[in-house]
Amino acid sequence: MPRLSIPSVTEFILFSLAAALAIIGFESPPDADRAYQLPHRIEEQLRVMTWNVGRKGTPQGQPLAAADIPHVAETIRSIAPDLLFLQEIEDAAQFDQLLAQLGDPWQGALVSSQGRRIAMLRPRGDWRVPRKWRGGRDGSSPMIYIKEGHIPIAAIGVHADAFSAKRRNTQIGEAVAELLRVPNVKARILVGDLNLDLDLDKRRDLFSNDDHLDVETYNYVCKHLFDAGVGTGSTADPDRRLDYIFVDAHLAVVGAGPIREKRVGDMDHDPVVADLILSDR
Amino acid sequence: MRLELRKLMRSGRPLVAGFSLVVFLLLMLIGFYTYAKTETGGSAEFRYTFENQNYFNGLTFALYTCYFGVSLLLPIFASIEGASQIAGERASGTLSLLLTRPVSRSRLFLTKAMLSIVFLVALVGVFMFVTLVVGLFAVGWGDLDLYPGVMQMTDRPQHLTQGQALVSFLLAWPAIVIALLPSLGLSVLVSTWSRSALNAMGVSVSLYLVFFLISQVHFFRDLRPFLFTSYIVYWRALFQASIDWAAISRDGAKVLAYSALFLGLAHYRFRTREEL
Repeated sequence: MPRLSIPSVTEFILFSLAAALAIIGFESPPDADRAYQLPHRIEEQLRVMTWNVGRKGTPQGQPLAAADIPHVAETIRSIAPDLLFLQEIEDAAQFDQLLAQLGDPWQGALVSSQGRRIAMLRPRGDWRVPRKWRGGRDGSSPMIYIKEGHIPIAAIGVHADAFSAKRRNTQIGEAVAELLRVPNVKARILVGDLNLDLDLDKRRDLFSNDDHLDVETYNYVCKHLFDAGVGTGSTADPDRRLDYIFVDAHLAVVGAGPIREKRVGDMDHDPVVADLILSDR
Repeated sequence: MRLELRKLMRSGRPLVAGFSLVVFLLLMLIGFYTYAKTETGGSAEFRYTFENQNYFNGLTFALYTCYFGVSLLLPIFASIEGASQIAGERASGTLSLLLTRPVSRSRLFLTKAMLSIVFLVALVGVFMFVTLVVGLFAVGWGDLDLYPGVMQMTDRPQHLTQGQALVSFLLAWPAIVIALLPSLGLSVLVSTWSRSALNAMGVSVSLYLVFFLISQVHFFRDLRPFLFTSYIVYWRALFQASIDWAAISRDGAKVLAYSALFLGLAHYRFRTREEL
């Protein structure tokens, strides 16, 4: 048997090391690639969902297509949230069609905010929209009060500006301030398409005119609320996390994340769900 | 090894690297100081924000400096060092002379690789030490607060006491050296193919920058996991209140895998090339 020369042994060791380390390193995919698996429901659980049901196709995006309404209704029924915010509903007529598709006991309100429409829906009647948001109060984000087992909760829906970091900062900041001012509630939730992405590894300035201001905006929210979906991966094209559910300290997060493979047609956002439990904190 | 060390010291590369890092440090200090002044009491317009005076301390400065230094500056120095090893000897005509000595090619290669790694260990260590000392005397230390989006260090708010932060910096030293090894390995590989040190450096640095940019763009989602530049800042996971050792080990293994692969290929090329 020929004697192995040192150089060959060196290369063998290096290549073997490379192979072994690659197997260890690439063995399991990062958690962010895994879709959120909806857990088995328990009674005390509150499931919150946000979904931008609009379509890409123009720089400003397009609202929900009429042909997609049945699919959206079916998705909502399959996920069965207790509180749902939808962005990019086209108008009241479309909202009524969606409610009709969902059927009893779904109820809700469509509110205009900064020229965009946000629908708030709940599969039971213990909710109300404060008077100042009824009929549309342009310039602020719509709020809904719900009762979850006699526990009052305030939730505010946001669809932040897609083009101006300054406007996003103002809208989101005001929504947080508004939410924190609400008296006599046990817990608070901020939900919606915030149009900001604080990705750890990719350039953010490709999609923002002031990514540092977006960082400030996000962290301002985090000073008061907890990001339920942190670390769960992207929620919209192209590989960005734009849709959020924030909760205060009185709500414990059982699990959260985007639900994959629910888009249809030209939709570019995944629905995002958070399963919450009211804690004693 | 002694001969290689003398050649390294005489080459001036450590001096160039040190000078560049000092300039970088000074510019970071000026930028950090003026930014902190603006954000905490200057004429900033009203907006919803999180930054306050306590956030800006010497440890934040040191982390800012390390992050940017490791992402862009240090890999370039690693590439320059690796590229000059074989191609530099060949261009100066000393390679043929070295090969006439009773030292195997493998030993020569490994000696050069080891010395380059020792150089990186020293460079990173001195860089971090000086950064921390400058941060201490120029700004002052304190607890380290990290926020999502800032420097892309974390995806959730972190609070580290001063002691925890210093331990993290200490742990980051070898982790950063490991993060630089693929750049070094790639440049050594390029060096074994090149006849000119300058060309080897140019190609190595260009390759690094191309991979680095691609790994930062959303559209290359499927390609990114296979680029070593995607893991160049894996050490940031050490700056967490609760360190995820499994994640660090996985990413560290990926980085070492690339390093071993590049060095293995470089060794093969060096062993088999015919010198005129």
